[in-house]
Amino acid sequence: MIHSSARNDEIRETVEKYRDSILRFAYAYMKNRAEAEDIAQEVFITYIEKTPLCETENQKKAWLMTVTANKCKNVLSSVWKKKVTELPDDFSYMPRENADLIRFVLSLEKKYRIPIHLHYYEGYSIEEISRLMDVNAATVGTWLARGRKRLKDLIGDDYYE
Amino acid sequence: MNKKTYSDSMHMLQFSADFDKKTIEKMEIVARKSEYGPYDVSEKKRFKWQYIAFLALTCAFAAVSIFVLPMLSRPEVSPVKTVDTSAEPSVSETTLDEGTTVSEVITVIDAKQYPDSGMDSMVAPEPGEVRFDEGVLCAISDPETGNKYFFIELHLLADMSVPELGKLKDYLYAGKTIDEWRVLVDLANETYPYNEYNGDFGGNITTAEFEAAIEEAKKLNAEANLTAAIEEYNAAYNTLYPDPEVLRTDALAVECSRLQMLGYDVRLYETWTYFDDGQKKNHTILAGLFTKDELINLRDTDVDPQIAVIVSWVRNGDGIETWNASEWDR
Repeated sequence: MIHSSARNDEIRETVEKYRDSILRFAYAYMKNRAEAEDIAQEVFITYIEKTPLCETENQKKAWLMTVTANKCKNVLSSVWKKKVTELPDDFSYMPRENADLIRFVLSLEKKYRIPIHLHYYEGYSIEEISRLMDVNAATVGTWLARGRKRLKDLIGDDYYE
Repeated sequence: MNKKTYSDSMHMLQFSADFDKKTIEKMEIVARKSEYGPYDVSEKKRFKWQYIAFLALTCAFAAVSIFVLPMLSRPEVSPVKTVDTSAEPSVSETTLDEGTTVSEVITVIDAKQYPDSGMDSMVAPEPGEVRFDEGVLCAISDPETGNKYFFIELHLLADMSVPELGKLKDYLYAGKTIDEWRVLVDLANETYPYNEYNGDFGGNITTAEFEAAIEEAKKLNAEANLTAAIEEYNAAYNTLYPDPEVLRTDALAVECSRLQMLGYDVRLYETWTYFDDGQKKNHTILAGLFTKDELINLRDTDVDPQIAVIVSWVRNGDGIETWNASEWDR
């Protein structure tokens, strides 16, 4: 059994270290901040309940990201889910350029925006995304390419490098 | 896309200031509970008595199988099945139409031998598709499970629309459906690329018509109308179904009856989970005892084309639940 204070330190460290990734990944799925926060909270609680054996920080992050995706997927697909999450968020506190970019990415279909988020925000490779999404790497490559193309159509060449 | 701009933009997203505090508090509550373990003293005592009773019952069944079985001839009617569970195959009693009794050896798989890694597929099944989660799939692949029973939960993913209101996307507000308002919002926000719009609407839209559609959408105040439409739908929905749990259990009951008619041993089953505040809360699920062949048959033949199904081990708040004959027969 882990001593309480050590466990509390681990809890605090885990939340502080992975909060940004989990919240934003859930947000990329749900397109709604309140729901993303609820899911992120559930993910961290599940982590404490299950205490998965992760040998490296990468494994720990992969576990948290997969659980996040599963919880989002379940909420989005559930029989009793009320589809009220598609109301646009208010980004008025952000510079226009940043707000537009988020809106554009969120306007993409899920299969395009999730790989795009994982690639551009988390820096994951196609192989890593493929493992995380349990989808063939070639399919992920196609989704990324199509997603980029659609974004390019939406926002023009300015944002591209 | 510029990686840095996207990364910066996502970092600018503001979440609740007290997210960390609330999350850490809840995690600490759960951690404290797990330090004390899943059982309290009274539960441990009760478990001991259940264990003794279980042994006595097993002995009784064994005696019946040794002394009564040889006196019976093999009947032709279908037996009503009850199943016993343990790591080893156990004897169970089968009541027949003639009022006679025979025994058959049936074993329920110890699901804890096939746990999930938590890395299962994140892609939800489509309607008409049955997806086994990692642990169940692993047990199906194991040749040792051929004659054993799987104690599983069927998670149903289906359209939540109700007959009184129809589907959300088809709901009419101010002369347009919600789907039409969504298109207008995308046009007004200029987030609907011409190529996609043209493809979605027959392929004969000129750029001039597209631009006119954008101008028209901007005039219609589409975003406010979409918001109002969804709010109106939800208000009507909440009036009809103030408790969404009723809808969920109704859907489970319908599917349960359908599967029972097809001969599967399924039922609505009470389990429990931890609620947000760490308290236990009862939870109705659709559970079943399936053989490997029945699971494959459900996936390949008997699934409802309107419903997507995920099959997993039955779980409660503490993890995989062990099958219990008395709970199952209740």
